[in-house]
Amino acid sequence: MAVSTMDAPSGPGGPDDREITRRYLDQIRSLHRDWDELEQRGDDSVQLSRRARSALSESVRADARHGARVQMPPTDLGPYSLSELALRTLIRDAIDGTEGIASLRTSVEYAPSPDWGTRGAPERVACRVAVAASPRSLPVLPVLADVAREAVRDACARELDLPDLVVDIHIEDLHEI
Amino acid sequence: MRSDAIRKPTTAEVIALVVAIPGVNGIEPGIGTTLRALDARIRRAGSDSSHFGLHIDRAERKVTVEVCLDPSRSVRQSVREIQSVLRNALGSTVPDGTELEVRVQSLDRG
Repeated sequence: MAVSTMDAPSGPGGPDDREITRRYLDQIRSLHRDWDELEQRGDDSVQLSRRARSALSESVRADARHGARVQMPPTDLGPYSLSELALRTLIRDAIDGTEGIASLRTSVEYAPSPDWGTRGAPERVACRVAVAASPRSLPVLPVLADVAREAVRDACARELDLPDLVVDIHIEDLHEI
Repeated sequence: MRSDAIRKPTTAEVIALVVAIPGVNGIEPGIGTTLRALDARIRRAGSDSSHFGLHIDRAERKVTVEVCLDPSRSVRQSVREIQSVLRNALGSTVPDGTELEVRVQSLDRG
């Protein structure tokens, strides 16, 4: 069973994603521990318990947060996919890692996929960014856009083996530092 | 008749091996494996095929694991290592040509 999150366009995510994910991982870790322990002791009270139901509702929330699955070029040992959330994180971090540029909102266009519930490989990425500028040295905007663009292309090629990504940079904000 | 039968690893054991890989921050279940894990518990089908974040389907010849990665390795490298560990851990306890699918749910950039 898969929940299709494809009806809504790829969302921007929130500032709390990292923290929420960390809490979720901790919860899953402790749930694993408890269940394994109970099972070892021969206790089958974990059937449809409050904890099981809460695990279910947490995983529904996690699924909504992750978004759809995005197919990646397979490794030689098998296929893999990223969640839309993971892909966005990768792209945003690539931009935030450059000097003086901060990512605002990222949206991705995907290749068509025959599979319901997954998206094809990313083909085009549009990144809205903010640029820092000091009054003494105005930034050369096309150069900065290229810096951001190359950062995203490099990250996707290096991390995911996606070499032909088209990246649009939209400078939304020029703020003084 | 073999005198040394190959023991099927439990899903808990397989998960422990995956989580031990540098580059893997943890198991991060999606709805699919969560439901299958709960279903297996309810039917008391044992823990050898389903656990949160890991599903071994011998009939469909497919293994699925859902993870959170950290930045110490490239995503692709970590994924490949996970697939390698799965293959070695499961060995001949799964049919030949079983697909090893990794779903990267999130990236913990530290």
